[in-house]
Amino acid sequence: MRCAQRFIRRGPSRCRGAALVEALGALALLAVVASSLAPLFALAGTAAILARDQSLTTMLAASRLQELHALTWAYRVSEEGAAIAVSDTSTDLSVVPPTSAGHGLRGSPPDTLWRNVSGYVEFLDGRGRHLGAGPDPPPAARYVRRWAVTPLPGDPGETLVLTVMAATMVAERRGARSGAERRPGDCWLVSAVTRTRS
Amino acid sequence: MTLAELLVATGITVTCAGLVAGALQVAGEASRLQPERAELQQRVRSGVAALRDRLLDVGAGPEAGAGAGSLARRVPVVFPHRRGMPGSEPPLSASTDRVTFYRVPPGGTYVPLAEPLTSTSGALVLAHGPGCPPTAPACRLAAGQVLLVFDASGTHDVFVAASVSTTAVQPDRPLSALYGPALAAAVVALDVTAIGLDPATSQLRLWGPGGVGQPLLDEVVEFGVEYLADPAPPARPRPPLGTATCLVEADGTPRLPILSADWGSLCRLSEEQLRDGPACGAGAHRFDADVLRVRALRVTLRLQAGSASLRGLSPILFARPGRVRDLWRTVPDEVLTMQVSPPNLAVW
Repeated sequence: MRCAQRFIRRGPSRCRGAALVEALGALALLAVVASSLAPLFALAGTAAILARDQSLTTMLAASRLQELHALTWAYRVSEEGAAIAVSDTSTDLSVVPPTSAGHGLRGSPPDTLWRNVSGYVEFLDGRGRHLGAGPDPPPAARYVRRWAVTPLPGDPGETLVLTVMAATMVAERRGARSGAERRPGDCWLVSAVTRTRS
Repeated sequence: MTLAELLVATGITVTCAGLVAGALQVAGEASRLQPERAELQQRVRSGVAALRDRLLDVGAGPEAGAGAGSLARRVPVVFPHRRGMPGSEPPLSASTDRVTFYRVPPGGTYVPLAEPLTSTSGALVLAHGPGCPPTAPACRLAAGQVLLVFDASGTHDVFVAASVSTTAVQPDRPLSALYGPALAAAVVALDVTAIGLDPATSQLRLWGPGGVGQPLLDEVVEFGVEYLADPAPPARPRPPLGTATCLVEADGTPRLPILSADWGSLCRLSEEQLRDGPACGAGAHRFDADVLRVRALRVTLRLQAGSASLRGLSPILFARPGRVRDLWRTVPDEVLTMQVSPPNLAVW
């Protein structure tokens, strides 16, 4: 700017090179401003991905909880009129379609919610489709879903506590879980199922 | 020298302008796509919540009194077609993109019949039920209300109360059977709801008893319902011994076969199985006996971005491909599958 003023007042001979330096300065300033704005766009994109992940993990957990609820846990009345407890102890929900080679509503080992235990873990792709079951996640897995079946201590023969955990594989890889610790972004759902003789 | 400076300055200006224009284009695309992605996600969330809330209530029965408990113990409550409303489909039809379900509304009344019907177009005379004085058993029913009358054999009719006195209800149409107290016939208030895809508007629609659909979700390109069933023959409704129904012989022997499980301990019912009989009930209230086996519903929903300018060419990512070539400039369809196991369908 000063060069331009001098050019108007005194002619071109005394401002050689100044225009280039000023232009480079302006360019550097622009680069700094632009680079400080760039993370905002990245942040918006990340927020959208996180929101989608949370929606999908919630949906995946809720659906598994409903699948567990669909397993037989009831009393059937025999031909003699006696109430017989019937329980599904064989359905394997970790594969699609479910098979009869699993554990059903049998009480699960104590650490199935934070460790990959066959029969209690499933890996899914970015659209929530089944990719594989434990213990090792397939490379393309984006979500993991684990569940636990625990007889209620006060009423173990009649009531089961069902817990489902769903999380992204990114969160899984970020840090090993210690015990029942919940990480931000994990979705945990808990429900109970009871059978009565009536 | 001046010319050289001018050229350098021009070059720098052009480079800067190009960089700024490129950045602005990316920013513009991002600001155009992000709201659409967020909106699609929001539709997914609201759609899942709306469907799950409604489907979990399927088969809810009266909350109190002698008839309390699941309605699925008495009548079928899930049908693979539109039913019980204007625009209903044939009672033995089956389609995977619509579902009708019954439930008793909260506070719904269960009132037993006091006298057998002598004519299918006669009034239903009511006995004393919960929540009403003995002299006015119909105190919680009103003209215009949708009601269900059923008996222990599973025979049932849905009708609108044309008129209600203190002791009787006059249906708006002839009933399909002569209901009576011998088979524990009773009347309950009923919510009839159908959900289905309207391909013309790409809307998931909800129909009530009036038959007027209201949109539940926009830009839906796929809606599918799979019916997961108990392979064992339905144990309910169980008529008194000596009464033969479409489900059991007079000696209690089931008429339906045991199906082979192909979904864990459950089995998937095909459209053919849902319409091939044996048919129960009569007239417009006939139903395929297999619907009484249903224990869970597996729903698939596919939603797309509203504008074709946000959809790409890939038929895998887009049910209705758009015109955008660059994948990063698109909002792919969201496909989700969820299972709902209504507690009232767990009838053994």
